[in-house]
Amino acid sequence: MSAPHPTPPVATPERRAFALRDALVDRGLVEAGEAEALAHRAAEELSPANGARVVARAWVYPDFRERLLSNATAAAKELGIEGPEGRQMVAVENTATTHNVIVCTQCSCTAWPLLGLPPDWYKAPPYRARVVREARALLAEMGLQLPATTNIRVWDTSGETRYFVLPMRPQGTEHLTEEELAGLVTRDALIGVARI
Amino acid sequence: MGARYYERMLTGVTTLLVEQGVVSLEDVEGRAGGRVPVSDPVAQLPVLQTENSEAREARFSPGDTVRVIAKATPGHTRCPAYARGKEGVIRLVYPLAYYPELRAHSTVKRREHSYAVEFAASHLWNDGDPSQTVLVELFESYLEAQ
Repeated sequence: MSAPHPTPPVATPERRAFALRDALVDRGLVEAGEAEALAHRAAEELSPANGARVVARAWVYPDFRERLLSNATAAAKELGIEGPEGRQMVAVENTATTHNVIVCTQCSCTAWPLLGLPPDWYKAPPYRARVVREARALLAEMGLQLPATTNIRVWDTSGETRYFVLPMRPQGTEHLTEEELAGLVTRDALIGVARI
Repeated sequence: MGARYYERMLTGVTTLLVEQGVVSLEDVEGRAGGRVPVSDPVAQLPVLQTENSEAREARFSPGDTVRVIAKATPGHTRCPAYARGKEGVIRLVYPLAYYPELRAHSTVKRREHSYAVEFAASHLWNDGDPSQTVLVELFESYLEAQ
């Protein structure tokens, strides 16, 4: 009796992804180069530097801040910022009494045009599970100690809307230009796990 | 569950394309030069209301108290388990969007409003922080008036 056929090993994720892409290209469902173009765009155009520009503009121009808070998608478009995962963006504003933080408990949804692709810790189950449950303790572990008097609002990106945090402008920055202010704004601050 | 984040997405997409007959598993495995794992079928497909009406006025307004339906449904949902059966307050009303359950498991595209609903963390969790709230985006079908 011959031995049963050995089960071939599982192909690596990279090989599986390229195999699927090639199968779809051969069927005319995906254009050749489309996946590469998207990857290039993700690396070059979707960046937290865009979110920083929007925040700095809102700090400098009160009328832009108003437009940002009433319709962030349209306000970002004024600066030429738009794209995938950016059809319905909402700015949530930090104040002296309220701190906002963003999560996607079910996957990793983020406002790509303003924040870029999400960092690994944002996609990891511990962050997703704990920030809705014990935001203050988790933020402290991540280096953000919030005063006990500060209320915390956690925004779960469970639907179509993509949020980002409008941080408070730091004191002592009156002399800085808009560009210099943008240089202060980090991706972590746009997610709400850091202050500026 | 040992798979990494994008690997799980890859498996999900591959499963969908194979199940729908867009590509064959043999073809993909041949190109990959090895086995290509796919997910098991959903144990019980959800029973979906396929009525196609939409474009209604939003049923709820900011300030309304609502309760999230407690019943869990099989298959895809965007209603987090931790919010089921809980009471919250409508804060923002969002435009019509495709109802995720129908979009995931049928070819019916029906849109409805969704909302940012604010829940006290102390209501969601026994040991919840009284100074924390969680705002969840929930579709109208997930909500009941209180």
